[in-house]
Amino acid sequence: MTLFVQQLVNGLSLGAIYALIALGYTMVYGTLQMINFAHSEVFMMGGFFALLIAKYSGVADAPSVAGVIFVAVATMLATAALGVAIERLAYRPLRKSGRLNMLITAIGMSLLLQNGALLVWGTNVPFPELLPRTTWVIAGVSVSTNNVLVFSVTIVLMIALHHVVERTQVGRAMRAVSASRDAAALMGIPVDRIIAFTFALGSILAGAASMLWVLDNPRVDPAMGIMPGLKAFVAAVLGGIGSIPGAVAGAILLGLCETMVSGYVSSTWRDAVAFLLLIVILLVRPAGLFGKFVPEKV
Amino acid sequence: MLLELDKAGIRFGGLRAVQDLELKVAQGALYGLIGPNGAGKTTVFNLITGIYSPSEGDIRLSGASIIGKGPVAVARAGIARTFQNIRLFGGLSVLENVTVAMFRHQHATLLEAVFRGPRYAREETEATAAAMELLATFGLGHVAHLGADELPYGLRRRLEIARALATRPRLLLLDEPAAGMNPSEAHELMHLIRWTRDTFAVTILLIEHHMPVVMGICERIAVLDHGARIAEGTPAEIRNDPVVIEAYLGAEVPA
Repeated sequence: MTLFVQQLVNGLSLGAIYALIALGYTMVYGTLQMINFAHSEVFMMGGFFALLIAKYSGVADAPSVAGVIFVAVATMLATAALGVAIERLAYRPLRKSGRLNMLITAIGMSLLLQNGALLVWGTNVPFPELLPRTTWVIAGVSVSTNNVLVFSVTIVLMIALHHVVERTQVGRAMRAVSASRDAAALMGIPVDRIIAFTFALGSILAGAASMLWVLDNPRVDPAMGIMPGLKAFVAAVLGGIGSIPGAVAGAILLGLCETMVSGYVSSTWRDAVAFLLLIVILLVRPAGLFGKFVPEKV
Repeated sequence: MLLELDKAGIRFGGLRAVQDLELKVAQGALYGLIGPNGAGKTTVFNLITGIYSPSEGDIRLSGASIIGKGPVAVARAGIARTFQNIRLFGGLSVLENVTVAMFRHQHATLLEAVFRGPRYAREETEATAAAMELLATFGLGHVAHLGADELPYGLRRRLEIARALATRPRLLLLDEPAAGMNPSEAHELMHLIRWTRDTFAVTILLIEHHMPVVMGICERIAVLDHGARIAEGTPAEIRNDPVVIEAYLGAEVPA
């Protein structure tokens, strides 16, 4: 029982991080019907942005709660700018030339960012400890400050996202663009701006995820985005790509599966199980948990 | 002239889908564009709304060329449209479909929206009230909070017109608004269209297949065949034009 609860705590906080990244995949897919493979690199770059901001603002030398909040907010703004720049420079010029071209460009952008980061910063750069780490043991289950932080930040961001998407005029326009881009344009909705905004939102969440990630795993590396990015992509597909609640549900499910497998079976099997889960769910429900399966019109 | 097509044409590869098209729609007109299947009517709409850019000629709105502007800018210049195959925003409610079309008239920033600033609150209240009024006008008041994709077919067509009007257009393009309707529904819709023109002081250009109804409400009609205009005039002139009868109605169907 203790093991189960322990893995539940671990799984929820892992799933929360996946959820923050998965939302970026699912929102961009919702508006452009394109998998933004460079999204995992936005997450990775968030780690480097956080490092640079912490270092040059002096927060790394004299850590404080206010300092950490500053680094987090600045990181989220920096990843938002990166996401918007990627869309503007790499995807928008290709929007009319087909999804396959955009997909290839996304892969190219991902490689460019990975290798660019490798060239500039190198591998395995240590990240300074910004927050003192405390672990409470409650009835044999250890809960760290980081678990609490990850979980509370994710919940706050989910509520904020829901508020923006469902209860603001910009969110409404976003949903309209994702329902029918052509019709939205013909109603005078500035589609380009709304798409850029979608990238900004997804990248802000990825920036938050990388901040939470580096507080827990104090190293930044050009390859650090690959696995979490892939898992988050799997989570988005599991939940039904394009669906916001689906991405969150898929991410939590995936996080729990991974930690349960490492707790009860073996940690070497965790990734295999994650992808096995993807295959099984797609066989049973091709559109994912929350997706609507729309048969192709012939 | 509100809308002028001046020798406008477009080719797709070797196919001249529309050629040398002259069209003059006066302010406040209720103008019909008819023609057999494949005559290029929807292509004309796509040219006017900036989906296609004409390969030749010019298109002017109130004397200013709108060539090369793209759909968003054309919509912002005051042209709204509906679609032959209905394209509502599924996943949005009926009310949201209308309020989202007012996006360009709302000026509050995202920050104001997130924190419910006074300007956002005022704009939203106004947009909702205006949208509810439009919906009531089109007999959709009772379904305002349903999802748009839950509506039956006839109501979807009405919602598309309401949504287009919500952008506050100067020119409204209706692409086969009565498609799939029975004669009495089509008749009712045509009255609604004329009433819309009078009430909202909007100029309407419509494509329609239901000949009797077009003849009944349009003040002027242009006939398109194989991408070219073969006739233009009042319904009475069109009805008696031998070229139209031959090309459009065929030999065995009398007008």
